[in-house]
Amino acid sequence: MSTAAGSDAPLLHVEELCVEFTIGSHRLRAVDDVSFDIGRGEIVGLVGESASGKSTLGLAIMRMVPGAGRVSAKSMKFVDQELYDLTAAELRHVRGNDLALIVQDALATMNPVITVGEQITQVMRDHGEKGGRSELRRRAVHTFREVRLSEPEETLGKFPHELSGGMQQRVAIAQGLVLGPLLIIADEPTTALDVTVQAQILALLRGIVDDRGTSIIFITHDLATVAEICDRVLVMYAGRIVEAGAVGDVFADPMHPYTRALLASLLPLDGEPPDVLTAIPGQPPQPDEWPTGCRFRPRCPLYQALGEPEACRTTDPLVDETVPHWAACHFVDER
Amino acid sequence: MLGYLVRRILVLIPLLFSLTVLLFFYIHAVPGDPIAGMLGPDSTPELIARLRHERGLDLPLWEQYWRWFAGLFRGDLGISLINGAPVTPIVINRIPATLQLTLCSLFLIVAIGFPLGFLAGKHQGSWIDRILSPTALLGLSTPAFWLGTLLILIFAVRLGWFPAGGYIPFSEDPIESLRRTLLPAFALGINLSPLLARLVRAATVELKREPFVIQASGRGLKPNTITRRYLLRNAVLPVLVIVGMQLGGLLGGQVIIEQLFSWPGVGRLLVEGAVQRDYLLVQSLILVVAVIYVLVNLAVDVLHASLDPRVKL
Repeated sequence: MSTAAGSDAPLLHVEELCVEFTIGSHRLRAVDDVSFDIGRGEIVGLVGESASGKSTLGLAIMRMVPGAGRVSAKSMKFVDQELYDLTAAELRHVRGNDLALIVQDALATMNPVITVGEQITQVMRDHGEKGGRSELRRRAVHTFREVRLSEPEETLGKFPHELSGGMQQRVAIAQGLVLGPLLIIADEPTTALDVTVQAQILALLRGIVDDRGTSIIFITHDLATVAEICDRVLVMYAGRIVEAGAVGDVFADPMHPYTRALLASLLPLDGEPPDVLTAIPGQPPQPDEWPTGCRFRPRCPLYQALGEPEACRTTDPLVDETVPHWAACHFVDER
Repeated sequence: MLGYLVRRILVLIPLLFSLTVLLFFYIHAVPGDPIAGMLGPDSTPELIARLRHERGLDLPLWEQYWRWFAGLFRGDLGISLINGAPVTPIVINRIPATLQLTLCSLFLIVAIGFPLGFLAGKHQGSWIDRILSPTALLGLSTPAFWLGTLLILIFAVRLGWFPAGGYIPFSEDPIESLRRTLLPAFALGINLSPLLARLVRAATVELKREPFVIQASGRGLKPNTITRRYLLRNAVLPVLVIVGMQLGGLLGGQVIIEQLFSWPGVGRLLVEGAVQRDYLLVQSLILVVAVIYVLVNLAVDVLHASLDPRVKL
């Protein structure tokens, strides 16, 4: 977008976002009253278990929540436009140009019968990029090189299934990257890859942010990955953000019992592995059965330790979201 | 690709060989004697025996088979038991008409079924989608012979737009030839159009849910691009599978349709041959149909591979 607002204004401003699915007579709130900002050139980790609503949140920003889902928000401002006020044509322009989505299964997101070269040049052509076939191909090769594909020219003529998993993800990233988006939503982009390739892709994403000033929302269940590349982290639980802060602060001083439990279940990187793995007891709740009050309560060790205080059962924890590091817990000071 | 073709053709050899054996003994298991049938009730046993001997029908079955089988390699399908004429030219003369009817019918099936199915699938719940299902059922449950009669009655007899039957070689008068093919091809293929339409509809509905189609709009591709290069391009693939699968029914259906439209194809000759127990003629005709079947299937597979890079030949 050419009309950049003041540089200290957030790139993305989300306020009171809800995503609700109606299935039969059930109404499920997958994302429930979530607010946050994404600044320019930062990588924000969005961490949570399955069914915590993190992927739905990503889709809501892309306006790609499937048909049955209803999105409501007080504000979803991207640069200076309300995303949900855009017309179909404006939205098409924003997608690809300014917003890009990268998902876990890169192969499934590519047309199986068209070469990856044609697919990436198609993105450019459909966004009105000037230049003939050779010029667009040159730009595709340039982008392939940027995502560290070892043989960019040869790769152009390949079909998606002919590439390795790591190459598929690089090509998918290149497709998202080719028009220079301002914000990339990366939903578990490395989960399906083996560890060495994972590290390369993470380094690649970090490099893109450092070189281009792009922002990334990095959706993952893996705290180790967050520690590796994110600047800030939002911890999601049962459709809500329960803790937010700079990665260093959150990891050094987790304020929410859920975050503490997550960190405790990580294996130590050095020293002896523990005899017994620490796990969070119970299952994350499903969107149609969110507990009352604090949603982590049924699994919360602090709630047990404090003798099951009534506040946890009856009221949502209030938080001051203006401070850099906060958590939605009635007993933040008891940690 | 070339290696694949060679392999496929090599596989055909044992296949067609087994087919000749099966065909031969199958047709000889049918009761009735061609010579006795041809000469009628007034003939004498001596005359029947003499003719049987002339036609080689008194030889052991395996020897009769061997004579026919050996002849195949010389392109000699033997002589007709009924009129003593060589079978080979008779059969060859019938192939163009049958091939033309088959291909035109295939073309009509795809030309009608594919766009309907695609539009219904793309615009799920639209009027075209809502009328497709009942129409498809109607088409599927309409017998070809009945529809053929109806078509002749309306378009040939009542309206006089098309001739009621008869075939003109394409090389003689292409336009008139195609005009005459239209009604029989339509009658033959109309059952399969709805079947194809339904399958294409299902495939298109499925495609719309595919991550790569959803992601295409997430990348901001034009709706037109998504329709053409993502939906249409991938919806073509099931068509080939159906064509390969339904070809047998199409070739079988010709027996009736050719009869109805006085179409001088393989099917009609087959009926005549079967009625007269003209073993050599029937064997040879079925063999020709089988060869057409496997060759068209081979062509379909090659086409499939050229359209879908995931298919390795």
